[in-house]
Amino acid sequence: MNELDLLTRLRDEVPLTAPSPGAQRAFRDGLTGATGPSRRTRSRHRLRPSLSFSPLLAGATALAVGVTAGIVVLALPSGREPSTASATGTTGARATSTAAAKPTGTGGAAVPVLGTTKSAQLLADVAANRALSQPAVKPSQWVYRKVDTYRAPLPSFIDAKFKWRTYNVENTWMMADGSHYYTTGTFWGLMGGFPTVPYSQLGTLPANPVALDAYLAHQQYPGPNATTANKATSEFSGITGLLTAYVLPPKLTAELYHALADIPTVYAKSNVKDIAGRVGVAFILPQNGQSVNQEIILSPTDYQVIANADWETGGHWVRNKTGGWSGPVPLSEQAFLAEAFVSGKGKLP
Amino acid sequence: MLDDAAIIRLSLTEPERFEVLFQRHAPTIQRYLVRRLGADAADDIVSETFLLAFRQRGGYDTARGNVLPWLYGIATHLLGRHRRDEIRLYRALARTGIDPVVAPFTDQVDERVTATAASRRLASALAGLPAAYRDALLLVAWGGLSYEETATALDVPVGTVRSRISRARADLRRTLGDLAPASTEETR
Repeated sequence: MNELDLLTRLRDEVPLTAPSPGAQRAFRDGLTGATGPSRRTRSRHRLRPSLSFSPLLAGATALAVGVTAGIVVLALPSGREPSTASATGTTGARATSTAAAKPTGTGGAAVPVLGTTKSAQLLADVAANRALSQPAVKPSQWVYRKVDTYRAPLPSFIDAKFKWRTYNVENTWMMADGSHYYTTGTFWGLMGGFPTVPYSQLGTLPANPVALDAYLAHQQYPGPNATTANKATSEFSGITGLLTAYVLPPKLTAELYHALADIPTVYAKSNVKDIAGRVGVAFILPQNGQSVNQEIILSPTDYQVIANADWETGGHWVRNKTGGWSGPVPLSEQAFLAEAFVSGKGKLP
Repeated sequence: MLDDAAIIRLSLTEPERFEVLFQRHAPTIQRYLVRRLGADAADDIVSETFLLAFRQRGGYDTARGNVLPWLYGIATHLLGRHRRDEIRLYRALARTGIDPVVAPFTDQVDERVTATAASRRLASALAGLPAAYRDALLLVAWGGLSYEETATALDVPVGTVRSRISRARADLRRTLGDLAPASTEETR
């Protein structure tokens, strides 16, 4: 067996199947568009732009259009249900909705409407590009955040003092480097997890996304016996902590998005609803032997992080208003309802 | 059954005939794209490949007969916009031993295909190849094209294809090291 045979064997692991319904529809729509009555009168010169498009641009457009129109773009593994709500505009700052909607997912597989499946890599590309267009922020810059946090209630037999609160919207202030955290409510801990890399050491992180993943995995599991699930969970959690606990330099934010997409099993999903009822696009780490499902939800307009959550496949269903069951609801989630740079602690934007 | 060239000729006056080529060749092109870019990106590019081919069918030399090299050429050209994604997939396979292409979205981690040491080294070598070498090599290995067809697909002289593939294979053998097969005979 020579190297060509080895390559062929690698190729043969991919089954020879018909293109997905989405790809078939895209082709037929394009063909119909090019040959249909409405286009027959157009010149070839005018027809070209409609057929020639950048996949990246098309991907971004599909994501944005799909989310804004409230229709499902992605058909991916089971998770929280696709929503029909419209996206909240979040240009410039993070989302401003203060609606404290309860978790409303009802489970079940997403139904592909547009039939276009976008990958985590595509989402990473789009989000990274947007991150790079953001200005750098001084570490000492005060940042105001309105944060909605949620943890699933624990059974009644658990001592009350150990119970997590359910919903709580509070005003918080911190410096961009994550220091001097201050809240008008009770400090319940950083829901995204405490960052495993101090702000002062961010500059030492590897720039290469693969190396960055490996670094974060090694932090938690330095031994040789770490499983793929161990590593993926450490990587995803580590990145969640960094993205939510600091206001990061744009370049690092972009690298972290690419690193997220490089984690095996991580996928992208549109039309994911946060606890505030806003719809976004998410990186999702599927449940594995080490972790429940974890997700980082981005705004569909500016691709900044608007929430992070975790939930259990098949778990935590609740009665909804119509008497039916909704779920799975998150085990925990924090949503950044608003974010703004302010002149000091306690100052409102 | 009409051959590919006849369908293209007919499609100039009856455009909807072109769909036959999609039905006939899309699975092959898709597998090539999935192997190189993963299922998601392949989904987009496979439809774009055929739409681009449809748009350019007037310039296709129907004396060539088989349209696959032409379609592979378009797909490979479109794939060029996703080089970084492709390399990322190879590196992921080389690093983790898990082939992200074969089972991209399953959460059954333990059931995923674990690559052999040879596959991991192969992926590492593919990630390191110059794009032009990789295109030529994979059109032969994964597209099943001859050197002449690969030259047509890439629109370069066949001698260039030979030299690119020869160098690419040498790189692969070097990376495979002790896992390299004894035979280095060119088969095409």
